[in-house]
Amino acid sequence: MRREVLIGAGMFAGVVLGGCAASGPAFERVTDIPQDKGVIYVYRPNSIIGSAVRYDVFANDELVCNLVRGGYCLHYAKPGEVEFWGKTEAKGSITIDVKAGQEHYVKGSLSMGILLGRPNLTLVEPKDAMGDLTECKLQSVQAAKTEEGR
Amino acid sequence: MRNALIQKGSLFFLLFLVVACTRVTVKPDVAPPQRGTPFTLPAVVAYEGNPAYFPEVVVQASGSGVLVTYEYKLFYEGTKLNREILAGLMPTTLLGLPTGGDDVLAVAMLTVSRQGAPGRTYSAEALVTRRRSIFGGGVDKTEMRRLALIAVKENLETQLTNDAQALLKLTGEEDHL
Repeated sequence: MRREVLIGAGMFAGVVLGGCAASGPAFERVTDIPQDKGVIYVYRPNSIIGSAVRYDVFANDELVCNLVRGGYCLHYAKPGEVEFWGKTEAKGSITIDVKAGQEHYVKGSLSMGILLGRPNLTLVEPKDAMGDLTECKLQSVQAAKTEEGR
Repeated sequence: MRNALIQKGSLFFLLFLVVACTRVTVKPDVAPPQRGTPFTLPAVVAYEGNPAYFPEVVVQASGSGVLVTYEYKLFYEGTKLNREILAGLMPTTLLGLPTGGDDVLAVAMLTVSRQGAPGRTYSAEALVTRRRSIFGGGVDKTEMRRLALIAVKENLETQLTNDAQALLKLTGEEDHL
């Protein structure tokens, strides 16, 4: 009886957590950044902690993607300040200075909340981001919009 | 009995307020400028960021022989979720004690130069810290960044004003002080 409960719990956890992992094209670095724009990689490391929670990421008011563990999305922005934010039970945001022709890396994770984890976005150095990004899969805006429409 | 409960409750509320607050620390320590005519430095400005974070003492003057360059860099640090979860296992978490925190450090540098004369450089840094509890984390990183950049801007304004004599000598406008 105990064994069956354990197997059931394991399968449930597998379905819940496995279903939240990202799927899509493997990471590819942008080689042709537009002269008048900067490119921002928003990613979430493939960590099992907090993986059941996913959230939409916005750049100012524009939807960038639905961020799941092991996923990343690309956003092109004109030079200047851009606020990236996400919301679960509370909002988490970070504002970055986008520079033309440059790459910027925003790492998404979670911080503790009462019922759900809260979005925790932070700016990271390229060398720190690359280790995580190579394991990430590209998420599309279309997929996020479909998810949002449900 | 009732008074004791109120006292304990107030203590926890106070503790919650203290731990959830955001703190700003600025370096270097500068003396407030002496009262008098407000100091302004006309210069060609080399800065492309948000004007709200640029020291207001410097005024854009396209014909000026003085060049002011301003740049800042931001650094972010924070507690990772796995450590927060460990901290969250403590019963005191339910009272609002912090489970983690974030730091935003702004390092700014302003250089005043004139062709043929050695320039002057001013720097400032501001550290904004916040502690997070499960009930909230105070301001978010966008606001922490703003607080840090305003703090370095104001510190540099004070440094420039305190150094007005030397700057006017450098710019050749000593008589206008």
